[in-house]
Amino acid sequence: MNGFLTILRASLREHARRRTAYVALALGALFVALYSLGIHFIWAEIMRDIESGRRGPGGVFELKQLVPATMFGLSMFATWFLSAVAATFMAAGGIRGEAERGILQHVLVRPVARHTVLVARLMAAALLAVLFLVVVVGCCALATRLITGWQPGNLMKALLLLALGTTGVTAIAIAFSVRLHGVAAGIASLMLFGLGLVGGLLEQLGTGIQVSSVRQSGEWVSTALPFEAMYQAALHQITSDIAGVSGIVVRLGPFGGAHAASSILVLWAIAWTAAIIALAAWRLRRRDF
Amino acid sequence: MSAPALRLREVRKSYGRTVALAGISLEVQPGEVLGLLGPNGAGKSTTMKIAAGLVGADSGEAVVGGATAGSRQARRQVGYLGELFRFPDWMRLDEMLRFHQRLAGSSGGADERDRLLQLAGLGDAAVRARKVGTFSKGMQQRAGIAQALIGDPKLVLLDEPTSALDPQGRAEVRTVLRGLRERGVAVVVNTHLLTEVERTCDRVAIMLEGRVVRELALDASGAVVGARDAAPLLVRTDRGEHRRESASDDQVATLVEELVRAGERVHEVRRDVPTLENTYLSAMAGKGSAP
Repeated sequence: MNGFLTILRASLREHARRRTAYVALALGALFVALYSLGIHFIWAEIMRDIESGRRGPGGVFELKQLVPATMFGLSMFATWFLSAVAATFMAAGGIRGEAERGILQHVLVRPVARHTVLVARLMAAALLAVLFLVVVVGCCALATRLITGWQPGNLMKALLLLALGTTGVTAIAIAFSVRLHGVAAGIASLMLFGLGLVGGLLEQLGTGIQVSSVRQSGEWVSTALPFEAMYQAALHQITSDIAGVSGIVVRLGPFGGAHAASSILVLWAIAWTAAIIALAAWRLRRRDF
Repeated sequence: MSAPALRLREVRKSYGRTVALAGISLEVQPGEVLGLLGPNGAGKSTTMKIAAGLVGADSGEAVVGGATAGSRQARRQVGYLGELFRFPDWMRLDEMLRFHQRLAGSSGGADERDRLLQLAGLGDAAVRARKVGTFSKGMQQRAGIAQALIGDPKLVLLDEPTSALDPQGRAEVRTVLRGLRERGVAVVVNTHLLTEVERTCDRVAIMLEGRVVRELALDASGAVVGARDAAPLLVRTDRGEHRRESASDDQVATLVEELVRAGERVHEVRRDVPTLENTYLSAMAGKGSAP
């Protein structure tokens, strides 16, 4: 445990000293500011239209939920995407990259299990990425509520699901880093991440156009790479309490293609992430440096 | 005799089709400094890495202080400085040592860091507060030596520890190695600098193509033990040169007495004692067969 905490602390300190964390938070703040500005103008225009009677009363209720939910879903996707990319960058050079620079060997010689080094480096990257996610999504939720009065249904659950998805992507990156150079590990991880997203879109598309082969292909990809399913489940958490016509419209939109996360799906995502880490640890144990 | 600090028996290692070690056997006793010599690709660094637990042997036995090399128990006893290494450039020197103290489970604290940095010639407070990334290669090597000695290891493995050091730095490393020997620490040094080996090592293993082709003991002056007596003797007198293939000190005295009694005037008595360099080169030329 001492070795784990020592490496975890050092890895977090490294990201702080290299200003990775500060840059991410500064850009996150910029993102929140732009988002707030955007939703402010959209909301002001909609309110003007409603007051001037240009939008019928039947659409008012829908708009008051549809617009903030879609905007917030968009911000959540963008933030989750950025957190996954940031985690990939932080983790992709974690093992082989460090070994090629001649840094890792002096750590591995110490009486610390190799899997401890791997998990500590993974946790450091995942923690920072999740911190970014929580802060930015939390701020976007707050801004949405302050400007529009709408608030997501179950933000805490949504954040937990997104955090699990981000940790899954980080696990892929650190697993690739055992075998591949930093750049190659990063590219491979992002390609798998993209594949997972495409799988989710295919599933939605297949459902929408009622083509079972497309839907099934999407489902297989989503099952094999379950982090995208975590995003869909998170979306469900924030929009599940929107009822009536608004609910239907939100769930038909590109950011509303949500599925409820069954316990089995969440357990599968956890097991999948653990399996990736175990595989990486097994490979690292056998690797020569 | 206590258990060897390092024992390798018929250790083999290949990287794909490249054979790095073809059945190497070595022992290093506590308080002994062993030098590994050999051309590039001879398997010296692989030997060090197997002892350090960074590389797994394909077959054979590698034991550090009674524990299988690479096991946690073995790694507790090892201090290692790699040939091509860097420390995290964002860490300050003192911070880097503290990091390794924690990983090694050392309870030495600030006292240990003070002692090791003084030993490595980096005791200055301003240097300790500097980021390792700003260090010259020589300073990094000194920091690496301090790092390798954290936790009072019983076996210290140094791969090219003086390659970037100036003459003063090399002299300081020699002092460090002597200090380790006096404290009963076993040291394995891999270097191409034969003069450093002559000055610091008790024993030398010459490696070639993944095998130990010669093992030589060195005396306090750095000469190969037994080489002096086995060296050809040349006595030049006013009547010519007399050569003996080998002669002990007593035999030299007797020979000179005989020549003087025979009326010859002795001008020069010389032994052609092979240096470590000669021995090394002959081992390389003969692919390891004795010269």
